[in-house]
Amino acid sequence: MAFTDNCDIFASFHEDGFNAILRHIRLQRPSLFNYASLGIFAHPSLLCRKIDAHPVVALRFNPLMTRIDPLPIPGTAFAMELAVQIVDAKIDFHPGNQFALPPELAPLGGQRFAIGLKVCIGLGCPRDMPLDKFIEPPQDRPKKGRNDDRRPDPPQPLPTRSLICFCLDVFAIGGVGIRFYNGRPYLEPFLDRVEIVDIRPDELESALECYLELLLKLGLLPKLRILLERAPLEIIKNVVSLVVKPTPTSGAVPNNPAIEQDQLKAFIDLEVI
Amino acid sequence: MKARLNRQLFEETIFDSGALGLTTSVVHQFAEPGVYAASVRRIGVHVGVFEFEVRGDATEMQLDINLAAVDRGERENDCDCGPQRGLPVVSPKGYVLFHATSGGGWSVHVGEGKKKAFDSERLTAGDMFALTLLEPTKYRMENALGGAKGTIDVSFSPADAKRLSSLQPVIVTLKSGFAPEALKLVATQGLVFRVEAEARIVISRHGRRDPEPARGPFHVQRPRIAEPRAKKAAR
Amino acid sequence: MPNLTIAASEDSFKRMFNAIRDNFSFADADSIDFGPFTAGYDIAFHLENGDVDLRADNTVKIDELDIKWDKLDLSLGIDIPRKCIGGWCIIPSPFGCILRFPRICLFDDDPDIEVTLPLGGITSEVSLTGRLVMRHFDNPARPPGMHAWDAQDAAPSLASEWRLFIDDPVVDIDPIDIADTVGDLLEAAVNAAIDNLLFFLPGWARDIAKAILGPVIDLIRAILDLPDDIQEWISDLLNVSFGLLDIIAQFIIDYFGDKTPLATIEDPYPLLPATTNPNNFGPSMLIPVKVPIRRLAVFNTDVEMVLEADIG
Repeated sequence: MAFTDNCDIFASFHEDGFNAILRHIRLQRPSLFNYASLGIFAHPSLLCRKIDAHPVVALRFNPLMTRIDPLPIPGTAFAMELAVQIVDAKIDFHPGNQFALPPELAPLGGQRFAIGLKVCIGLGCPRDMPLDKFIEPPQDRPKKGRNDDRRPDPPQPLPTRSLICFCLDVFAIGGVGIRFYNGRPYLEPFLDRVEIVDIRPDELESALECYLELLLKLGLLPKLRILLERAPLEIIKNVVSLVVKPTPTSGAVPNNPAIEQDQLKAFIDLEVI
Repeated sequence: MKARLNRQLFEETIFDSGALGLTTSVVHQFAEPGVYAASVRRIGVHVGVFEFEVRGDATEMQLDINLAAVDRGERENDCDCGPQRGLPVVSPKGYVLFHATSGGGWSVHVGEGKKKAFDSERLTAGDMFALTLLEPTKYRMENALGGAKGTIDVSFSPADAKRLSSLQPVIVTLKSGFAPEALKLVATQGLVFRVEAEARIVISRHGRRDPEPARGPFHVQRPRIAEPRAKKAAR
Repeated sequence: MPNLTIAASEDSFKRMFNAIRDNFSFADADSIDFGPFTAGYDIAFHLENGDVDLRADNTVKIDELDIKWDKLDLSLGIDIPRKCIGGWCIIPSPFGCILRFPRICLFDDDPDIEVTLPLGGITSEVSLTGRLVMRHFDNPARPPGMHAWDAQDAAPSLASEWRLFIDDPVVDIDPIDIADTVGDLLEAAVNAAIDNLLFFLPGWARDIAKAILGPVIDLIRAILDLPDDIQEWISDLLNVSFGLLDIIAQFIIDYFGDKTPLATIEDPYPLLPATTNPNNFGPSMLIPVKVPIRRLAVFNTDVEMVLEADIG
């Protein structure tokens, strides 16, 4: 059977290739995988893991990290420096054979991929710093004005000499769909479920899973969507008056895109305009 | 290269043995050996001298002297064959033909020492006047030094166009009159007057020139293209 | 298994071929001095149609590709021999002519006329067969050490590319088929050129001058040493003497085999485009994510073209 029996253009990424692509994305766009508060930008050596980046990132003054707010300390005007790093990422297209999934996710279902991530979180704890000077003295006279008229100042990060880091092995399963933005089709990954291994109590695990699921769903994955016409490396870009459309699903093409045989497959039709 | 058309060929209307032009020549036989100096004149004004030698041992039976070349200072007939190196030679039994490759009004006077031997404005018995007429029209001919008169009718037809190279010259004898007096020629055909009395033969166009019809633009038509290959048709 | 597999159906491949076919144009002009005459050509053509066939033996054949001649002008510069009148015999004798009238020539030298035969408007056919090949192209203008992102941003781009060609195609080209009316065309053109040469003469003088020059067709035959079949002579002139078929075939080979790729893939390939910097400091945009293509192979079956790539 030919690749294009039911479409005009066919493109498939093997999971090995896709993992190689993921590696290039991590090296060339590290800010997509590394998030830190401003104090850590000034002292990247504080990070839980050193960021490995392509030299062009520095040459083009691209950031290694995406800035996030420090973790506020409730009841104070202070916060703790915070870093969240995705330090390892691997994808496994159905059938699963790249890594073992936790029992909650196994076995990997049809038309699904699994992602194995290592996420490291670091908190800047000023444990070995004198904190007395940050303790608010008593107020002799209450400040004038109504409290609800005053906006709180952004919390001030407390100084730190190191981060307290912990890393989590995170697994997720999801799929890839086609979504249109501005009339153009994109291959867009989506998540079904996230699982963190061995966290107690369960509620903490659930909370962290929820947190990381949101990080992946709302932060990372949308930025990994690929314009459908780029999947076949734009081999028909010389041909004007054509538009790329996903092949409609049918008995012959039941899934588009399809995740099967360790590959992500896209079936594309060309439409003359 | 860009060649120029000899327009004069088609513009002459008077053909005068005493005022030679492009298509007229006079012929004289110099029977006495010796070196001759020909004074070349244009419209009566001396423009140059051309020397030649008549030698008894010469084998050359014809010597052409281009009067226009003499005017330009050229010596077309130079050779190293005479005792005076560079002089062209001709046999006393041969003929000297005076002609001009351009211009008009040419005449020549040749004297050996002080004795005048030849004056092209006054031909004498034994001389010849040869010419060719191109324009198909009627001409008058007359001897300006006598009373002889005659007519020439030159024609040209598509049939004539095919036999130009085979036309034979017409011979006319001039004594007291032209014999024959009325000639019919084809354009470009040769015409030779054998002079037997003192003469200056003048031929002038008599017929009116027809007005030129308007010419349309030239064009080249692209050939009609048929289906180029049989196999196309077979498809 | 390759990291990336891309396939294009035969119809898609035809569209790719048609796109570069439609950009094809050829124009050339030259002349050769053959001694008694010079001949020149001024030609231009484009390509149309063509039956694209992917074949099971991993070759591609494009059949019945039409060469549409937009211009096929053949010019002939002819030295007309100096034709003269006179030279007839004034005094004949049994042993030959004793005295001749001088020759008077129509022109002061051999005149040149140039005639141009517009032979265009015809169609020739060409076919080409070859294997598809992917070649890596490193722009020679790219300075050493320039990274891929600067190369991509350069105007014009200095980026490296994978290029898809028909490798060293075998070209079969039909001889240029000249219409059989070309003899009449040539005679008419020479007639017109001579009329042009004599245009300032009155009609009677032109008739006589043309009679002196002789029948035009005889004149042409004499000068060009034409055989009976003028059509074949002109075909030979174009196809053999000028070597137009070789020139055209070589141009087509170079065009499809080396100069004009069916497809280009930038290497490294910008899979993710440049995007906005998420931070409110630093550059406004992040660099595109480029994926190096370490290996890119191509083959075809009778129904599709397949590219196999490995990511570097």
